[in-house]
Amino acid sequence: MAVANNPIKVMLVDDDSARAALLSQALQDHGYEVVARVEPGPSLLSKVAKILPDMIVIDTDSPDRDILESMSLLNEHNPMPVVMFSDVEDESVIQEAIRSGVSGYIAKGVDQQRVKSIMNVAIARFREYQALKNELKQTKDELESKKLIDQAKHLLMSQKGVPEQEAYKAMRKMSMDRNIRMADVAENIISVLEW
Amino acid sequence: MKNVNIGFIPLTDSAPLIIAKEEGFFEKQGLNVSLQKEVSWSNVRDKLIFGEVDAAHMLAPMLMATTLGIGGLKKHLVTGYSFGLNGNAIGVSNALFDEMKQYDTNVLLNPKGSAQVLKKIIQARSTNQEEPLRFAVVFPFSMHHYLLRHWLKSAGVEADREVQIVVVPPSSVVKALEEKLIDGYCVGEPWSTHAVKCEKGVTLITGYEIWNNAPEKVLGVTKQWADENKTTHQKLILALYQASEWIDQVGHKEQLIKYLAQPEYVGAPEASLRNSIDGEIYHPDAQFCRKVPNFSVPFKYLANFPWQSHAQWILRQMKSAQQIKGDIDIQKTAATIYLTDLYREALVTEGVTLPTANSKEEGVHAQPWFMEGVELGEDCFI
Repeated sequence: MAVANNPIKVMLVDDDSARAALLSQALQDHGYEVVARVEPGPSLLSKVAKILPDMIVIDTDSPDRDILESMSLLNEHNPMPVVMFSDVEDESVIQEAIRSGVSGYIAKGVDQQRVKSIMNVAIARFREYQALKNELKQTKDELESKKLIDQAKHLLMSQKGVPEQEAYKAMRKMSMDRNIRMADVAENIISVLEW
Repeated sequence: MKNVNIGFIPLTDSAPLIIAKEEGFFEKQGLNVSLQKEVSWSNVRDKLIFGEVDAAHMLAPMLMATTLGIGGLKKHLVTGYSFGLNGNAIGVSNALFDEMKQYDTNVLLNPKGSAQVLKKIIQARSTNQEEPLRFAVVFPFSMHHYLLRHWLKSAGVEADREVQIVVVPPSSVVKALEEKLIDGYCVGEPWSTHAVKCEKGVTLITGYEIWNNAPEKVLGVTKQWADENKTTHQKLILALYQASEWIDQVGHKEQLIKYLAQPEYVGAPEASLRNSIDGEIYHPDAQFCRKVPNFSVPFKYLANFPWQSHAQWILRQMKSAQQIKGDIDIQKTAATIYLTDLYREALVTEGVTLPTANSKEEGVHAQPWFMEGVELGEDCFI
């Protein structure tokens, strides 16, 4: 499972140090960066805020799951708790859980084989989250460009006295001639005309 | 015998499950119930959704959140039984308590004024550009969260703007106080008594004093399970009702404490459990226990009836906390989650009188009152 140039930063929460070491190694073998290995407890609150990991791996049988799961709800942090159940073996159940935005589940004994499948699930979760985030950013960007283009168009109309249709055409021509984005053209116009 | 798995969190109000099992109320209904102790509310919820357990001891607001798909999977949950009324308390760290005493030396004698005293500290901190106070609740969707907000609001404190609210599991509250991670908390029993006994916190006010006889935990099941297992569901409700009645009898108190203290159940010291059952608000500093007789109400006042007006209040709080965005039909949503008719049907053989109404007016009765011949508790807000 290739992870892009920026390895995903994982915070590992586990009080069983042998298992934590094993899991940590397995994560690194799969291209993750284990940025912190911390003991469970309420101090997780401040640790997560300080470390800002991309993902958190925690034992389901830790009551601190509630802390992590709630952080994004109450404090607008956005870590991703990756939590794993003891007895669920069924991959489709896990997939369903992840698709719906809940954490995944792990079995008690951590063997290499399982870590791999668990992390696959975790990556699926991560990607889905990223996709959502990108989609949101794209939507925001589109809205932002539309606003800029409108603003530039109106400046051209009011200050240069060109009709709307022509103002737009001129901007599009500039965009194509110079091979730059419409939003950038708009920004240029605004910076010049808004003096 | 029908096998039923039920998840629970080790808290005093999980008692009806423990008693129904230990005293044979489940068995009498032909149910072979196995109780699974869980470590977190997220676990309870997910295991219920995936069918790992058939029913669960849940924070009432979790049913609304899950049904609406807020904060996790969306799955229609329902309930036909409430584990009782009240049982929470709000406390503060020793350091914050000392600070409060500088403003009012008698703050403990006037629980209803406690938020007012706190407001002065919050304002002073804000003027000095200090960090806001941090309060712990047990879950974002919990009565603890909404009662804390309501209490703060009673003194004009805006929870979202003027304090920070975080989640700390009940059993970790003492640790969080020790590590100075929180300044205050709203938690259920036996953990608030425990925090005071460990000399890490001071109880300011009980949940009962914020909303008299407020809902707390309910027996949650998925709608799908409820539809497919109606008879079993009714038998569960009946057995839990009988267990609640058993718990309410004074003569059973010592036995109840012994059951709860067992490590496979609540596993807390007997003395803490006794204080919480007796409604004694422990306070080492003043060397007396303040008595709040209705600190937790397991049975009387129709405590096990799933009032839709309780669900409606919760939904309104979720809306004001911005957890529910957009418009929902509060009455309709409450009615699809709180199955009052199922409760009535389950108890038909018990010969108890139950009101025909599904809701009651909340916040208007300062004294116990009668509805259709049934005595109900007071229901005023702070």
